[in-house]
Amino acid sequence: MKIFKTFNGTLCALLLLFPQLVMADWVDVQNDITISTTRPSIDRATREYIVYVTITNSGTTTIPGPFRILVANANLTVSSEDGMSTDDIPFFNVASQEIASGDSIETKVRFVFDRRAISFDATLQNLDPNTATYVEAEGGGAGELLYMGSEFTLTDGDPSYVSINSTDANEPTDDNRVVQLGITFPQAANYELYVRLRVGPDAANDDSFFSPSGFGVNNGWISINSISGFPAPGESGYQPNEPVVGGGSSVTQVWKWVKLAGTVYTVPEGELTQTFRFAGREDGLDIDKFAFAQEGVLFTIEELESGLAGEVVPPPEPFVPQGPPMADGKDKFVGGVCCGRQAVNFTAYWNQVTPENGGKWGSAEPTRDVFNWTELDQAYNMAKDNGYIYKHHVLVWGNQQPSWISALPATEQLEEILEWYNAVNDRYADIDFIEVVNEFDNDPPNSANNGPGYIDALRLFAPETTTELISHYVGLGMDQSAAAAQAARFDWIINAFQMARNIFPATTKLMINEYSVINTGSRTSLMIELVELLDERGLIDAIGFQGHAFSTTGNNQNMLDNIDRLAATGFDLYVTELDIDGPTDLIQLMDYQRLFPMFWNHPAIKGITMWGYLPGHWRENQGAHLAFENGAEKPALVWLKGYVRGVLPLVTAPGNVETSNSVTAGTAVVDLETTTINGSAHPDGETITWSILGGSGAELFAIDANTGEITVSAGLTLSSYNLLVQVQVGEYISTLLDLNITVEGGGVPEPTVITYDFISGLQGWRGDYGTTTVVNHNPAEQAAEIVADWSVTSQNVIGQISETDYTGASIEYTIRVTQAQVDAGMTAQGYVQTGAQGSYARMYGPVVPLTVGVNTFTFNPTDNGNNDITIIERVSLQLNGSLAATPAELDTILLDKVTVTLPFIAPPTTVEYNFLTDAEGWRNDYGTNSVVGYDPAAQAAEIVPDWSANSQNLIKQISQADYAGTSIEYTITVTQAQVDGGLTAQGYVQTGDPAYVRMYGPVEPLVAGINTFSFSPTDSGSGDIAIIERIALQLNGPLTDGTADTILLDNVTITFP
Amino acid sequence: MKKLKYAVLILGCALTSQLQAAAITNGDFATCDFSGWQQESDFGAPLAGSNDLSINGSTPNCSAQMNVDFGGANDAFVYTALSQELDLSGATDSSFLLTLDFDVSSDLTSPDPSFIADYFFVGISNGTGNFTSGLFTTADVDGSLDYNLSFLLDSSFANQNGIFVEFDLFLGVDLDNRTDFSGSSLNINNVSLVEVAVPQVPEPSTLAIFALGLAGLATYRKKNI
Repeated sequence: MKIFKTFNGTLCALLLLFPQLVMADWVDVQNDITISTTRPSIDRATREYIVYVTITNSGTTTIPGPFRILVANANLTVSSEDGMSTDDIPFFNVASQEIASGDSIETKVRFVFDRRAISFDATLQNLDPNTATYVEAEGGGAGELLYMGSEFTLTDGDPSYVSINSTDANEPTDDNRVVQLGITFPQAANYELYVRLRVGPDAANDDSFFSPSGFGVNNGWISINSISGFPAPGESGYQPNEPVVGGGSSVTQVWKWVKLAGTVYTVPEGELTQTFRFAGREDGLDIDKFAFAQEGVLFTIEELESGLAGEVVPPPEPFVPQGPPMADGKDKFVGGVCCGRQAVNFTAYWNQVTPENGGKWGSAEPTRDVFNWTELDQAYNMAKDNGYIYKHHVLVWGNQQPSWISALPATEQLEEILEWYNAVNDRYADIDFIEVVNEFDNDPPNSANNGPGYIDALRLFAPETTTELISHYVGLGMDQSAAAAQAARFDWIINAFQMARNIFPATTKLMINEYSVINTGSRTSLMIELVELLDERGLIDAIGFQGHAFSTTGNNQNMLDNIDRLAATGFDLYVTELDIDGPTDLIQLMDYQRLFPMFWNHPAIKGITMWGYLPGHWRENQGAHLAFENGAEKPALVWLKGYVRGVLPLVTAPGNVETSNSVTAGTAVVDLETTTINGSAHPDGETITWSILGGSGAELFAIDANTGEITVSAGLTLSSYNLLVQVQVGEYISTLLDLNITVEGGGVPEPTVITYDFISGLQGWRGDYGTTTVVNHNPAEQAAEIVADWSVTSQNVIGQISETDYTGASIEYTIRVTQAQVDAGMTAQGYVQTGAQGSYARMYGPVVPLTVGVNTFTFNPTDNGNNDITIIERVSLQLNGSLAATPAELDTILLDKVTVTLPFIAPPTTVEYNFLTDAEGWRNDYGTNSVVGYDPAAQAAEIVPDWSANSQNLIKQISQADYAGTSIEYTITVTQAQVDGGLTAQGYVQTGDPAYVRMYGPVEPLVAGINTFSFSPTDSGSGDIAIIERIALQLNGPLTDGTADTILLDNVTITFP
Repeated sequence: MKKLKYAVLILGCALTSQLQAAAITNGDFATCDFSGWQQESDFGAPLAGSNDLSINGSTPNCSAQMNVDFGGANDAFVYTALSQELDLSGATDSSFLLTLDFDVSSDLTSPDPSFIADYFFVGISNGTGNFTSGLFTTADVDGSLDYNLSFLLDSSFANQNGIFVEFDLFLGVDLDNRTDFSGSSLNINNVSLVEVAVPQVPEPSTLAIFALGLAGLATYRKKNI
């Protein structure tokens, strides 16, 4: 049977090379070679013909092996072959590992004897050079065990592996903790190292070893610590098709692949056999094998596991960033984590330092009373040597704590905690900030989730704190039980801070830190409650909230509201751990432009710390890194440094651009202009490059890279399009301009139709993140082939798009299913989904029963009540069923086509804020002290002024819009006293970041009672009228009377032309 | 009659010195028989009455002749083979120089429209037709040619058993199993094996060359017919 034969043959062949692999990627040798064959001799013992095949390298370079000869189209039966190729062609292995230029190698191929001349085609193949070279840790594969130190144990099995038996964080001083291998490589090259290993149950105490800084026996050692990785198939946490890059899962007790970064191992020409050593650091770590892959080759977990070739990823162009740090000279910092892999070019970007893993107790004191300060010293010295702020992370946490602490009685735990505090203080005398407690709500130091279990020891420090808190809550009306429960949430934290206050100098500011705070109103409230308790005791100096990608979901306004609530405590705020994922460079760039200014411009936020920016980033797999080790920057970093430095080039927004559906390709639509941040012309000689990065009209319009002129490139229909336009001037790029183009003309406005036909590719469709559904392109069927994993009851495939309003949209899906799938009850369901901005909200269509063969169904998305329909970022399909027990052939579903029809949406003519139910997002301007509430009786926004300032400024933030030709009418109610006191009003509109340009209307005198006035904003001369992001009202004083009175904002109506 | 030899090239002669004659039995067929040699044709001993193997000349100037494709009823229909296990006993660092003196001839030559070349293999084998990779030579028998081959067997061969010098003469057939029934002969004049000493060669690259085990050079001349 063909399938069996293929598998069996391939397996047999490859077992010779890779004992644990089942496949490998072989490719025809493309070099200049000649293949000659003899006439047959006869092996008289086996009665086989033997043909001697000679391959001569007639090229000028060495051809790397291993090799095999395929014997195709033979007129006699091939005999004694080493295996069968995936194309069912018999092959014979070749012993030689390389063919030098001009050299020949020889092998034998065999046929069943039959007295006839022999005819066949011989093809030389070698393993794809993008296939890794595998070496078993105990010797095997391409490596020979030369020495194994006494501190290792070899366990035979499947797989066989070596284990490190002792813990010593210091570099080995003898060979007891060393394993030495002799490795023969297929060719000279620079190699990166992958390791298949297993972290033991003690997690942070089982997750390190030493790798060498190079080949040979006199190399230096590199500490590989806090190992994360990518679980192998069949292991808990396995995710199909995950690229094995930096980061990954910290899951323990599973085999996983880890890519070691920072070291490239060089195999010179003619020195293919190299000595490789590794050393133990922490016991509990098992090492199965190493895989050396040529530099720049990226592997998925399956490719590494099966010995398949990886994909060559062209390295980014090297770049040398120039300092000083981007926030140098600013009144707030932008910092980073240090050091290790994040130390490269650190001082060119960041001016504050936080240690990453090195500052966690488990890393610093893995063995009781034995401290490892190496990484902390590096971070602290980086800060102090450069005059940066040093923010220490972290004293108390529920994770990455010493394993030995758990078993101690509480009294001893408390002694150790105090020792830990004192040890940090003794070693680092000038800590600017210290995160005393990390993740007090999400991961307290109790015993849950393998936590350290020393929370009671903290309570033991000052039992009276608990008593006080219980009394406090009883005083607030809680019963004793509820009060005790509430006290238990905070008592240990207060004590932890009290200990810190006692031990650290007054110059060290104490901070709390937590994630998912500002995107969660309830956690914001909890944080505020905690901060108030600490403040009452004089124990807190600053508030930190983490900015990880999952902590900044939701819309900006909600996050701003929560930041404002935190700021109202009066403490400085710090974004402690910012990272923003980059599934694509454009998405990361857009999210940085959406999120970073919100933090940077908030007056209460005094500093932002990036949680890594280079490969090795803990969310590298999500693309969250911003640059590469060779200095190359991703677009988000290019924008960020220009933004913080205040040197972004500006694009003069032209407002809504109109064109006609009758224009031909090449017709100019608009000529964009750029200026410096100050509005002046760029200096002569600057290189200016325009580009369109996305938008619904990206395929319909083109931009002249040199001039910024946008022209029509395809036929236009009556519709409205947007273009994401960027200009690069020298080193810096502008904030994206979201340019609206309205196509007008005769006829009925036509909808925008977007078709995914999957004829030549997947067009961006894939399995949803976090699912095991795989989507491949099937070129024969010209369809997206969904490979289901029916271990779960739904398969989710998505097409990611830029943010689009799907109001009135219609989506048609065409899928092909089999009779067996129908019989098994599979159904389908269309849905659309927001991105992070809408918390990935899904809006589903109906469940559609399926019939065998082609099914076409349509779904008209409707809003979920949160207006999320206007911010859709994914078009999706869900397949439902309980097909787990069904045969594997039920796993493939063909998605033939998805057609999205978006109606033409005419620009609005009026927008009204009538305040019938709430303040509709109107607020005081940042940096002002008036308060905007809501008066339900008056159905108006209620302004509580603060006349310590001469004016009160109210704003409503809006999506960027063109306000040319608009009229804004305000209705406000004021008191006689205010009128007598001199109150006047003034409408204005304002641009957003970075310039915040205001365009004012006239000063309006007021009368007691209701006042209605309007103004038509006019451009400031810089095109700013087209990029308005705030509608605003200014109330002018100072008042001599009526200062305590409130003002009611009854209505604001904008009329567009 | 012995044919004219045009050259003898010995690889490594500059590096070696002869120690003593190693044992090969009846290498020059001076006994005018096949003593010491293993005879075979078509998976068995040559049939009585066949012309597969014969001795030419008279004592002490005899040679062995192998024939195929003469079409006789008892003649080999596939191949004729002659082999002898080499006595490679000697010092552990000894090498061995194997020399082969033979000639081949065919009834027809390539321009003949009915010509389907017979062919031969000569070299080091396991004695049953499985030649050690890289250690053999093969050619069509097309007219008459003299051969002088010299192989240096490095010290890895020393004291090894099961290593044969072998001569195989094959009958040429086409893809449809047809032959021309025009005979070919391979005449062995002399085979010798000499133990030699090879100076220590410290360079790994040089050692690697010798580790190939053996290399051969031959000279031949196509004779006028």
